[in-house]
Amino acid sequence: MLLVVWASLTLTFILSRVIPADPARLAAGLQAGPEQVLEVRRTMGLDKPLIVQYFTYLKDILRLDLGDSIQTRQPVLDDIIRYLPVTLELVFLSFFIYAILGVVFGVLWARFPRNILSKFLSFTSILGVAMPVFWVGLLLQLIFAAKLQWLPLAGSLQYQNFDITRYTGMGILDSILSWNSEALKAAILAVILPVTTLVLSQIAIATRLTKSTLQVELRQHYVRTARARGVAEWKITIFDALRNALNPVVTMLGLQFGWLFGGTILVEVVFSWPGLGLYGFNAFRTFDYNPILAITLVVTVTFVVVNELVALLYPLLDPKLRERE
Amino acid sequence: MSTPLLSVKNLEVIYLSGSLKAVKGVSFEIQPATCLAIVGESGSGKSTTALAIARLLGNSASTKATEILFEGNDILSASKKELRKMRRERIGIVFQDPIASWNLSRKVGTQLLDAFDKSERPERREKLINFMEKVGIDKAAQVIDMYPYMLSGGMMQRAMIAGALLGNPVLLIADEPTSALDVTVQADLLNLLGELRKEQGLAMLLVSHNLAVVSRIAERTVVMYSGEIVEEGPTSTLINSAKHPYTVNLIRSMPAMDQPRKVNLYTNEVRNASSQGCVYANRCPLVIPICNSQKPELQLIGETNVACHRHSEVKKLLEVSNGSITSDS
Amino acid sequence: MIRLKGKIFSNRGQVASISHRVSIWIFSIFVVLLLAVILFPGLLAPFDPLELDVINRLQAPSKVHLFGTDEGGRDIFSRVLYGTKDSVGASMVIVLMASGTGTILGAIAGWFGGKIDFYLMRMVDVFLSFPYLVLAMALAASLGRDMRSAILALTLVWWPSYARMVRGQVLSIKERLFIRAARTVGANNYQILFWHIIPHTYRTVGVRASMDVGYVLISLTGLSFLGLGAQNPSPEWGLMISNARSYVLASWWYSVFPGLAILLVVSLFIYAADRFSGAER
Repeated sequence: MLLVVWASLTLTFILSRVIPADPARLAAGLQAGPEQVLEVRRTMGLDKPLIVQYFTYLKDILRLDLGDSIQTRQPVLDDIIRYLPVTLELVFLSFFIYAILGVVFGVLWARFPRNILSKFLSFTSILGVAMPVFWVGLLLQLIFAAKLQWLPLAGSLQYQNFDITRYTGMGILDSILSWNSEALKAAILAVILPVTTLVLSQIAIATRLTKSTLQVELRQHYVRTARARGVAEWKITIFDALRNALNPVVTMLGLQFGWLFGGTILVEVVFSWPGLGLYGFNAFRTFDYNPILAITLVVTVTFVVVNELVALLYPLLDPKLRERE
Repeated sequence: MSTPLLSVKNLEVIYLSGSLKAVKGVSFEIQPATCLAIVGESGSGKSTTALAIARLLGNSASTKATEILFEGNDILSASKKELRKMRRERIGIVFQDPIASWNLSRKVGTQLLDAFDKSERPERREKLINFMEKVGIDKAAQVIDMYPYMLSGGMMQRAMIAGALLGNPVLLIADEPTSALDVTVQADLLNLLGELRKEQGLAMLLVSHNLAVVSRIAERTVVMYSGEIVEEGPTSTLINSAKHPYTVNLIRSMPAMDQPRKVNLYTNEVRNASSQGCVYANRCPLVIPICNSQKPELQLIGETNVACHRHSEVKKLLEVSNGSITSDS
Repeated sequence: MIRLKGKIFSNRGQVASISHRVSIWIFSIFVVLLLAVILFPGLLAPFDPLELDVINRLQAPSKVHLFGTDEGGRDIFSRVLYGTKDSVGASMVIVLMASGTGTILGAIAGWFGGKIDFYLMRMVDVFLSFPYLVLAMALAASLGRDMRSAILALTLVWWPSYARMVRGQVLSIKERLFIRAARTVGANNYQILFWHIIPHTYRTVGVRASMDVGYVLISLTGLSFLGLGAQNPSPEWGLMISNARSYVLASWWYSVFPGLAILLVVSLFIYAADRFSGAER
């Protein structure tokens, strides 16, 4: 797995050095004269051979020196520490909501296929997957912020408007820790639309997968045996069938977490949510590479870590795998 | 005649996907502490019948009957709660394929005790260990905490039988309990079933395709073909003097016998019978025109019920080689 | 054959294959329609998608302008139709290229095994965990912000899943008898690979590809939305939605209709893929 991370880094490095635009010139500013650009180039180490640059790059990463951002004129590491939690707030909330709702709906759908809920789900589940997330966000903005004016149009919690401390960078958490209910209310309102957008765009996948795997399990003979012993139907669904059905669902959820991370950029752009995604996007537009490299690192590492964690879950679900540990 | 433990009248099972009548007009009774066997080939409807009685066929089939009375209670109109109680405490069921019938991700004990209240668990667990030892599982206390994939097929079936006995049932339904196991284990399990019956005073409904198996423990036997009963009566009479051509066929194809097969066993293809004539008409060696136009009713001839127009001639006509075959019991 | 012991009945099997056939027909008709719109949008579109008519800017839907007009007065309905080429056409191209390369590489990996397999699969791992947006951004930065780099980026992102899928299939087919038969007759490796093995993967790859046209379309429009793919004044659907953002409060039609177009096409492809893969089982 480390191999994967390393390969991603290398790939990103190659890409960044292949870029035609001159980072030194950009860093120096458009007004700078040729000597200044040269000077900047030297400081940035861009005059050294590519190989040396590469190893410096790797070495720096290991030291967690991610360079500076041209845009913010700050170490990228600091920027990441500042913006990452903001993104995480969206990611964690969305993930837990849609994982739980997705599985619950999937179970209900599989168990009661002729229910009105199930008919609704089967109609909307394809829609759920087919709607582009940025469009959903836009529509929600249109309806709930613009027309109905129930919720704020964009942006996360404005810390300066409230008497709270920025402990983590996550609006809701900080409001709670600062014991400020006004701030908490504002934080929750701000988070509703972006999270709803993310949930709506992903939930259909979890629901469909749960439903189909559970359906397969419910047709297995051991379900009939449990029924024959007089076990209550709901017990069978959850403790027998669902347990076996969760394996692929958990895998999928793990993968989705990774995509979610990369995909919040669209939501952050639509809602002007000041997280990692927006940061990276702005960096890209101004040809500011260090942040892009750093974000790639963060995203890839997260993806790998999450997949490893998911792999750890398998033996828990399937006793057959435990023996080999 | 005392009240039957189980009384089935005109059972009809239709599989909804194909409007196929899997079971048609099946009626029989089981007296307390006796064993009734249902015999037939694959596709005859025997398993369907056994499962239908406990309403285990699920949504893919519709189960109808004039009545299905178990201990005087109507099974067809029983509520879900009553049904669960019946399955837990009055009826025990053993299925055919041990591997598929266990949830491999849960411990043996947990699965078997699932239906019982948490408060009852400790004492039921003790009981389960006792039963497991009785059915021949060594170190039952350890096996209870094992996962099914750790056990052999024979052990799994034994455990399933122990589990079925947990609720102190009065009726044991066994759907081909030994078919998936090899011969030596088969014999063991059959003996076991026979003993348990005597000890616990259990009634039993045994489904099998093998008459030899059946002849060892069943007092009465029902022979089914293509969803209908073709012959029914005391097992020994059935085997010694079968009156339906199909029954004769079955007997002759019993593998344990040393006589060579004289009549061919047909392929397992079961064609949907026309509603007009006899179900067996399209494969019967003795078929005559009336067989195709008029359905023979089940008539009591001697000790058995037979549904055949030519029942009186069957013995003579099919006596190609040596005569009847004696059963073991 | 009707087996009572099993749960499957021939009737159901037959019913499935009739509706399967019907589905294929309906789907094919839709694809043909789509291709028609892609190739000859002028037939249906009442207006020129690029023609500015500023006097009539931001008009609500009417009989003349079915979907209303945008900030330049251009007819949105016509733009949506012309945009089919940019959005759906490009997606199809991406899927074709990705599935093509992925299938070939996966087949090679599966067939030859050993080191080739190992390194190829490591590459697959890397690409699968690489955030596609970053890749798209980097490519856009080096090759320029246009459809070319977006198409390249998405192709690079999508081929690995095909490689993995096909490799798995090849591994299981490898040992089957008819392959051995072909070998004994004297066919060499390449012939076996191309004429016998790869055709076997057509069905699963086809189902997957159909589904992916939908998913790629979503990603592609997303890239354009961010400014990485299509550029103004192209009538690409994602780009239109991005432009619509500035006017979302007053001109709802501008953002709604292109989105509906995306929704419709993606639903179609995913639904079709669903039907085909379901009927297989």
